[in-house]
Amino acid sequence: MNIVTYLTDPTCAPMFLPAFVAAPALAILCGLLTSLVVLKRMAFIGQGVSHAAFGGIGVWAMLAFSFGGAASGFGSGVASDTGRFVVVAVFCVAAALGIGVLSERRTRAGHGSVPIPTRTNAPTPESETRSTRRRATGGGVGLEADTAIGIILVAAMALGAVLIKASHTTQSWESFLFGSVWSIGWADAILAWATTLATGLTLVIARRPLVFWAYDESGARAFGVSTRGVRATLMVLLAIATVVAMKLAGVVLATALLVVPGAAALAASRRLATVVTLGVIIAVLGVMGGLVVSVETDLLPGPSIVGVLLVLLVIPAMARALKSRLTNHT
Amino acid sequence: MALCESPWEPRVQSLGEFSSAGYSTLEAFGAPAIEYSGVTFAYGHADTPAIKDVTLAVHEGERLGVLGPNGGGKSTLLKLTMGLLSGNSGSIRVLGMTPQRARRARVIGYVPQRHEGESRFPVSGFQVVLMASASRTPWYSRTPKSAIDAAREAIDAVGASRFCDRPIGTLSGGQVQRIMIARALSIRPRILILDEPLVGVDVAGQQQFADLLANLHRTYRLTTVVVSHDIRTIAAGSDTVACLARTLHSHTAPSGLTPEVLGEVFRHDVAAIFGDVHVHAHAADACTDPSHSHPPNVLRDPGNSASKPSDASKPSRGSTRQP
Repeated sequence: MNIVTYLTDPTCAPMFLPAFVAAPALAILCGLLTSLVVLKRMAFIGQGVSHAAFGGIGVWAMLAFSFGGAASGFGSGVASDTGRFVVVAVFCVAAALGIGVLSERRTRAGHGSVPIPTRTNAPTPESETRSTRRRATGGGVGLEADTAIGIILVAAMALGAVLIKASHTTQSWESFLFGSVWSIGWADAILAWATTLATGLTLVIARRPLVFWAYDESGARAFGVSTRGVRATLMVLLAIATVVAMKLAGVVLATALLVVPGAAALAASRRLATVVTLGVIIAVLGVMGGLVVSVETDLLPGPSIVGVLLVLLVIPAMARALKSRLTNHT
Repeated sequence: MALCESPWEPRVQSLGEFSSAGYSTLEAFGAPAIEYSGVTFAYGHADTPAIKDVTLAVHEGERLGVLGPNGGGKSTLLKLTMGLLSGNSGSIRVLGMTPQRARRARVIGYVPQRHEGESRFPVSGFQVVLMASASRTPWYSRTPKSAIDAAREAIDAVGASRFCDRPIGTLSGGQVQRIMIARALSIRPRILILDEPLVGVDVAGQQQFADLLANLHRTYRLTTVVVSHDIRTIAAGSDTVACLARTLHSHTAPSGLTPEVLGEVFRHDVAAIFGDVHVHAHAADACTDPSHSHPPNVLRDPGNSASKPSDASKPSRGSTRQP
């Protein structure tokens, strides 16, 4: 088995071990959020935020180039990794909040606003006809959420492409788009575990308002939950999770970690605690399984992880469908 | 005026006759629980207000139905009452407080409109009821026994004990509605507001819903506001009906919903769908025809009445707006 060799061999271990230490943290991080993302139908927002990370990488590349680090990549070491993480995370959070601002509609006469729900789950009040809603947005603010995401997504991708090209970095585009898990260092691993612990703690603190908001946004507001605060918290956590997951699966595939485990878990149970636990377990199995597949078959790690996650989603679904069919026949 | 036989209206009174009867009925209730005085609200930079100059009093113990067409401002009025919107002109007092303060004091129990996402959410009915305590429970503590007891009591009150532990997605529309009402009752409110409560509820469930509201009213004497575009929902149990189509067209007992009033209120929908039409003729036709039992049927069947230019935003002389 290649995997055992790589992890025990003194020459190879320093390259592979940090990735195998960081990977469970990234999986747990995304596994904690995946159920909420699926239940609130925020997958497309995750996609927008993850692609915005590409713009953040461009900004970091340009900063590195301007301040003298650059042609060899983005530098190395804890300071450099942390700096890149902070810049990209700030960019992603700004993108997430930008999506919120663009899709906000005014709910106060002339001033003030609250975000509208995502397009797909919007519990549109029946009394607000489409024309009323259009009027309510006023002054060009108040795009549909999917339009806002699309705008941020392409703008960030374009900015990233321009800045990365201008920075003359030697790092390949593919590593950003599809991940470069074997370049994970010990600093990344520490950062991943710290982020996971912080996210877990935040979710524990905000669990009741979060669940209420996810289930019934208008009801939560009426019962005193600060839905703006809850939504902003989830957006920030999503942005951070995306930045961390990006290293593992890349910009394009990071969303898979935030969507597939939740979809599989929700198909398997109707109890919230079970769904969250299953989401974490499936994410860990998918990530670790994908890494093993990657090492054993020499495939790219990002696509391997996504492949294993899809297998974990599809096989139980097929088994359930088969069982249901057999039951109906008998 | 055409006489109209319908489930919610045994006979039609003249508007003048009705108005005096309405006043005597209102006097039987307590002090005003909700007072709107010249309330006007417009979203953002909209040139037309969503609601305009609404003056209305809902008395303690009164069951008010707010009836109106899509886009008529019902939900806007409701959100203003809940303190979820602000920036209106005029004044709104809820039990003598501003709406925001009333919301913080948790005197209003709110049953929101149903949405599609709820059916697949992995929580039980009991967990949904417990959500009402989410903003009051510190993160570091377990759900307090008082909140659990209040939830159990509310579940018993709405007759949901049998199914409250089942996943919410497996419950029928009527059962989910009971759970939502239990959630609203679990904070022990003085005012209960229901937004389109019968969406997705079958006919049998609608009758049960009417019985449930009547029982709750007998037990708790709650001031109840039901918002809907469907007359059947409003007729399910209202002492008075406010007809709202941007402006308040009438505030009467349900028997005061004459064809003229309904035609006036739903004129916006008719105009939006068919252009300028003579809605009074439609309403009268609908009410004399037993197969047409409520305004949406009026809208579905434009009939063959002669068209007549009309200003959709201008109240007619036939409206029964009260001071």
